[in-house]
Amino acid sequence: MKTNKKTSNRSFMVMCILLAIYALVYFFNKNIFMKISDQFLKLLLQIFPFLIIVFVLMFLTNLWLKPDIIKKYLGENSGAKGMALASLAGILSVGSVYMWYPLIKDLKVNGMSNKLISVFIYNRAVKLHLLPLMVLYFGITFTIILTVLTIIFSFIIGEIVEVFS
Amino acid sequence: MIDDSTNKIQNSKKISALRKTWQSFRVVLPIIVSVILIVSVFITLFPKEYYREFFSGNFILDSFKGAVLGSISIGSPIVSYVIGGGLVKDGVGVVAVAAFIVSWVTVGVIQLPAEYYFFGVRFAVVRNAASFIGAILIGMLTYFLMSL
Repeated sequence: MKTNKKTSNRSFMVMCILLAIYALVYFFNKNIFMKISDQFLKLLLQIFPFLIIVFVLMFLTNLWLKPDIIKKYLGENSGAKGMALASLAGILSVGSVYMWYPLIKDLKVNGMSNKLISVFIYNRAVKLHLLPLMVLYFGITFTIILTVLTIIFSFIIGEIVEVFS
Repeated sequence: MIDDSTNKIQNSKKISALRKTWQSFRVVLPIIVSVILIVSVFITLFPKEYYREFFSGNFILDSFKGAVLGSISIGSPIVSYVIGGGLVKDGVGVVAVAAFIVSWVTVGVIQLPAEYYFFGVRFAVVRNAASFIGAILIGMLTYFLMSL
C-alpha cells in the first residue's frame, strides 16, 4: 500500500513537470502551445472510450480471474494454448498499447509470463480491422507476408524475452 | 436467508474488486496523461512530411532507418499505413516500409519509460531491442519473399 502511494505520488509528479513544461511553452510560443494542446485534447478524446473499456476489463479480471486460472492459461507452463491466447488477445485488442499496461501488469502479478506479455504486445501489430486498408495501400501479397511474419516473430521474440528478461 | 447471505458475499466481492481496480487505475492515470502529453509534442514537432527525406535506397541501411523511424514514432497504425503508402509512392523500397510499419507498433521508444514503470527495466529493454531487430529482419524477409 505504501509503495502504491509512493509510485502514485511519483507518477503525479512526472505529470506535473510535463504540465509545467507546457506552461513554459505557452509563455515562449503561444502558437506552438495551441497546436500541441489541440493535439493533446484530440488524443485524450480518442483514448477516453478505451480507458473505460480497460477499466471494465480490469474490474472483471479482479472479480473473476483468480491467480491459479491465470497461471494455468497464461503462465510459464501454459504452452501452445497460452501462446494462442496471448496472440489472439493481442490481435483483437484495440487502442494505444499503454492503455493495456495496467491490465497486463495485473495479470503479471497474478502469474502471466514475460513471454506471453511480449507475444501480446508484438501481435498488436496485426490489426484485423485494418487489414483491408493495408491491402489497399500495399497489396494482398505484402499484407499476407507481413501478417504471417509478424505472428511468427512474436513467438521468437517472446522466447528471447523469456530467456533474457 | 441463504440467498441473502450469498448476495451479500457477491456484493462485497464486487466492491472489493472495484476498489482494487480503482486503486490500480488511480496510479496509472497520471502516467497515461504524461504519455499523451509527450506524444502530443512529438506529433506536433515532427509532421509526416519529415519522413520522406530519410531514405537513401540502400537495402540494409533503409531497413535499419525504417525500423528507427517506426520506433520513435507513435500513433494509430493507420497513420503508419498512410505514411508507408506515401513512401512506396515516392519510390522507397518494401524493405524499409515493412520495417517501418512493424516497428511502429512493436517498438516504443516514447512509451519506454511507461513500459519500464509497469514491467521493469530489463523486460522493457530486452523486448524493445529484440522487437527492433525483429522489425529489420521482417523487412528483409518481406522483400525476399515478395521477389520470389
